[in-house]
Amino acid sequence: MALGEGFRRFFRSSNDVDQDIREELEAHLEMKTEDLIASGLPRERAVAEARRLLGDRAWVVKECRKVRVHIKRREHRKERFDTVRQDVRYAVRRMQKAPAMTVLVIAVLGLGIGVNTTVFSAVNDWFFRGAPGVSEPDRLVALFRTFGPDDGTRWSHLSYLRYAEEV
Amino acid sequence: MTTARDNLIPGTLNLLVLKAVSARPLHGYGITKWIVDRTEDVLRVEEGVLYPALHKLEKAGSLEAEWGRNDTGRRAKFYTLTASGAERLRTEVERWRRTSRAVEIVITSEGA
Repeated sequence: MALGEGFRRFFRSSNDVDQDIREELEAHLEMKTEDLIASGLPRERAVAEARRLLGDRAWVVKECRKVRVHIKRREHRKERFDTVRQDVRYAVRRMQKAPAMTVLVIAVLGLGIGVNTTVFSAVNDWFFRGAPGVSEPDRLVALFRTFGPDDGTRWSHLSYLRYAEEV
Repeated sequence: MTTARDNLIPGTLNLLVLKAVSARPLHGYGITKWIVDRTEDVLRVEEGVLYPALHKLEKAGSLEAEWGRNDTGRRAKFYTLTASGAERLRTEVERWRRTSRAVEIVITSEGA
């Protein structure tokens, strides 16, 4: 029962807001009419007079609706905030009940995140941001030899000087 | 749609509404009646303006609204003063007294 009520409240549409305002104004008109009749006015005139005194009902509904929309929005925000708070409290309670598991999970998460961050920083520096201390990284070249006894990047100082002169 | 009624001085509607519900919960119509009765028909609340004002006071946390039944058993929305509403009433009363005292001084002062 309480659950159904909660759901209904949660899904209350703007129609219900309007209904609420209209009912409030309707109550006002009825009570006013009754008092006017009691003061000697015939029913028909009393009804008309009560309406006249209330004025432009569409305007009143519109003004009230504006305020109600604000109130509803605020209530929703509060509900969401409460849910998050409940979840956090629940999580803390569960963690207190199983401290060993909590420590393990935190350690595994910490390690995972730490390793990930380290690898990312390294890769980022080496491959994307260029070598540190190099002011013009686009002039940086790597030369490879594909012949001779030792293929690869090993060069004698003499060869380096010769190539450096020619490049 | 024009009526010969004394409009409230702007800014006094909230004060009167808060005062009206300070003793007991009242519905909107009850509030208008209370004000008319207490001021012996001098002040009349613009009924159409009252309801948006009530909802705004509710939004501000000065009033709490709840559906109930009046003496004749009719469903109506009753407004109750909250603690923060009572606080607001106090400051509004003070402000009103200050202002009206100042105006009184001006209108009773002799010469220009």
